[in-house]
Amino acid sequence: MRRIALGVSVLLAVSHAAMAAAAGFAALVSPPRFELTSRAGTVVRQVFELTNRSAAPAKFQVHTADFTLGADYSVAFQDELQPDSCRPWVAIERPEVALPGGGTIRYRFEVQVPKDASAGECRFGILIEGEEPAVAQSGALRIPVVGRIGIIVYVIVGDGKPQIEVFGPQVITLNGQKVPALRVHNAGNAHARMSGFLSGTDAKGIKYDLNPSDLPILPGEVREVFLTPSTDGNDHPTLTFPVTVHGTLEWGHQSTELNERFE
Amino acid sequence: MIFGAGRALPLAAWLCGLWVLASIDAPLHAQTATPPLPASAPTYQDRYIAGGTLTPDISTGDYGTSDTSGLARSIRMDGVVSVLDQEGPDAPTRTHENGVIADAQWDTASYGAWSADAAARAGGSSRPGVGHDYGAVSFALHERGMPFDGGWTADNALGDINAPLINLARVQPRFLLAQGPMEGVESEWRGPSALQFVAGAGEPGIYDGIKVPTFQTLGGSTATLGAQWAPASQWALGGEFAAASDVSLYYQPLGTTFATERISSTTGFLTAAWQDGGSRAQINVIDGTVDGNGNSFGVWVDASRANGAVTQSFGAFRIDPNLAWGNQLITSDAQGGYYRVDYQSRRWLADFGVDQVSSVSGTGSSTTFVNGDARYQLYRDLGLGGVVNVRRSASASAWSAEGYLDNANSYGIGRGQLDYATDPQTRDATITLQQTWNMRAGTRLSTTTAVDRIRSTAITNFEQHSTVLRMAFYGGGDLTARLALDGSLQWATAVQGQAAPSRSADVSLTWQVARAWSVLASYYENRVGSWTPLVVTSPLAPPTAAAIAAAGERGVFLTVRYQQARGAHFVPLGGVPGSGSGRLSGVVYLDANENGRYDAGESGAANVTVILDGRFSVRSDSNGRFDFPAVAAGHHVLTVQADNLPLPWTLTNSGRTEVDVATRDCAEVNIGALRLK
Repeated sequence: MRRIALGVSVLLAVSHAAMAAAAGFAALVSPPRFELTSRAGTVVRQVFELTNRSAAPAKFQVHTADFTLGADYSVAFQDELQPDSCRPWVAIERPEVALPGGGTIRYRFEVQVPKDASAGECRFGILIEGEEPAVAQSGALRIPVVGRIGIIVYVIVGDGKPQIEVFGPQVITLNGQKVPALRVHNAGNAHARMSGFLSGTDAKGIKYDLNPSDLPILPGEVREVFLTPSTDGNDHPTLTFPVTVHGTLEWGHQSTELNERFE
Repeated sequence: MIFGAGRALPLAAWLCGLWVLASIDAPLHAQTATPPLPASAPTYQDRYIAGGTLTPDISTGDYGTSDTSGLARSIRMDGVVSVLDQEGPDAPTRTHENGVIADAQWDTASYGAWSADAAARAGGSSRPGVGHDYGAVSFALHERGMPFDGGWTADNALGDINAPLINLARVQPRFLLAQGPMEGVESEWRGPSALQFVAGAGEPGIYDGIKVPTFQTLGGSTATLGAQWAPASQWALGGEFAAASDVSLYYQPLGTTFATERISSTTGFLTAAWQDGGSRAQINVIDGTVDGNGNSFGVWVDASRANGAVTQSFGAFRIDPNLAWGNQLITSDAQGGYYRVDYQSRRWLADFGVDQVSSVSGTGSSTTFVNGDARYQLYRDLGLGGVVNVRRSASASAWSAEGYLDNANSYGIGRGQLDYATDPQTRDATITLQQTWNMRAGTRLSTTTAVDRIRSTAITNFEQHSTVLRMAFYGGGDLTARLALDGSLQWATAVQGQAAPSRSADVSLTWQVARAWSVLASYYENRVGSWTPLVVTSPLAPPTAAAIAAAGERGVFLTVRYQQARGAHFVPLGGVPGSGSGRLSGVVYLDANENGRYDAGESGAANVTVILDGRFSVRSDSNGRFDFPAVAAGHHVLTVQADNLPLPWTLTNSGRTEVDVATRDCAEVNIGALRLK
């Protein structure tokens, strides 16, 4: 079906809530992401809150979707059931929610992990869509807009965990600046996010803190983890290569020591 | 069906794990009128809990408003009933506190924001053989941000309020001048160059009541007058004068503590501040007299400098005894200095400080206080830290040390902590385990378990040993969308020795009955044990009231609340919220005699569009009259679209007319059209 995702990203790091606002669609969802654990044969029950932020009553459609991450971490949702999808384990409260102006629903969903489920990770999205399309007017153009909010749910089953392999150093350009990066392969069966405390020294002898990007690395994927430099009082310094980096790279409950030269 | 295949979401959205998508139809059809959207039925049929028959758990909204028509206004009314039992030698056995609280706020277009707060309490107390009924009220009316021309705004208030202070007196890092409560009037004016004038006068008093705040006057009178000014961008100067006549002295840090005698005081305060980027310095001078017993003088200097991750602050002070600010006792009879340095990085959080304090009169001993605090993040999920406090003086020395380990575990965030503190009378050692538990959305729980080993001679002259087990819970959550429970419980008992047990509880239940109506029920209980942890603090820290062992109280409160908010904050055309506004109106007319004036007998130009500042437009009525009822004060430009002018009339330069609008004034502008020749 012909649809183009128009990215409207909202960073609400403080409230940890996702909000979409367009004419006819103004909703707040909290939390925006679930990272849960479970065992085979158990049921995980959770609740998210959906608030209608507009003055008028609104209806929302709710359904699950599979998702994949693009090379640039863009997200693509698939309504069709994908191979190995765990959505058949998932039950949601209702397909449609009607909220008064300013109203909030505590929306329930559950994941029933089968008894014979093997260790790994169940991943899916819950999409909330405004029922009625609004019309955005731009000059002579009238463009129907449907607001959507996506919630991502990760459920680790049993002993599912990431297994990270770190390959050699490289230098990439990020937002116009050259930064060190590591190529990372997740050979495990659960997603990983990298973190850690790394220190570096560039060719001028200036010392930096380096912060690994914590974007999700799904099982089987190879990704670049870029190391963003900062110093006391400067969050966006320019590095002079070569740069040596050492410290501890962490993911999940695992870590590895890093001592690399980037040039 | 693939969503998101065409355009990528920014990486930043993933950093927080959230994104918002708005999907649009392919622009191939965008030139036409609204095309029908394709049905977005998913191709996978979801399963539904209980077949989709669950009753939806919906709340109907909070204090926020869904009605944005008109100016912002809100009202809240609480009806409160309560029963309070107290224990102690002089405490009444039972107290009732019943009353009504009403708060209202409303925006105006030209006179700032207003609020009125009122409370009335009735009730009584009883002790064996003694009964006492009482009633009390409080009321305050505030006006904030009333705009005037020239960049001036004013706040005014009357009723039970706090005495005003200039801003430079409020930003003191060490020594504060208190804004004493009073029943009276106050006014504050702010203008260009950071000009500020404050004035207030009234009868001092205190706020009283637990749930229903009422005001009790204490006799006498106070008055204050002050001003400040910024002669340059980096400098600010200020001064304030306070006087009190026949008032009871009030010492705020210890609660409602009054001296028995009544005093009169006059005090003056002068200050100068300099700020440049991360550096700041301020010098303050105070001079006053209490009951005419000679002048007392004080001076203190505070400075700070922030440089990257390091912030240093330091100061020196000398303040004579016997100083008051109105009826408020302030820190006096002290001299010394202090130095602080803070460091913050991704892994480190550390600070170190030294205070040196002695008395000016020589009646107290000299005290040195040293504090060190450091925390290091070893791994993402593991941090460790420690705190050391040393207080040394000729009369009593004390020190304490603390070490802790923070760990993000699979159950939440935990802390293990060891504490040791000692002074000449007490030695405390404590092991504490704290955990904030991972909970489902809308619920929270944290727990603390501690074992205290106490050796003390504070109560008797014989050393007593006790081992106390303490447990505490804090948690709550939304039981349903309309029902929320929150509470904390603390319990401690001696598993060895003679320490008296303590317990406290504070539990509240909130039920949203309807959109504007809610019921709040709360219970609290507090019984102080015979032991409280030894805390080693700076001599410059405000003293804390000592808890009375074995005294206790408990109470039940029930509140029925009605609250409603409507409207939106007023923004005049071309202005920002709170800016002054005036009215701009006039007539577009056909200047038949071409004298540039709207004369009797000349016709108005109906149905022409008048544009303000190229952005806001209105159409003239059948008489050619147009009206912008609320325009930001200042300079504006009017133009007219001449399309609807009857032939052969036209406007030169689109009728461009410049006009100045004053706050709460009405500017009248007539725009004449000329006959084409």
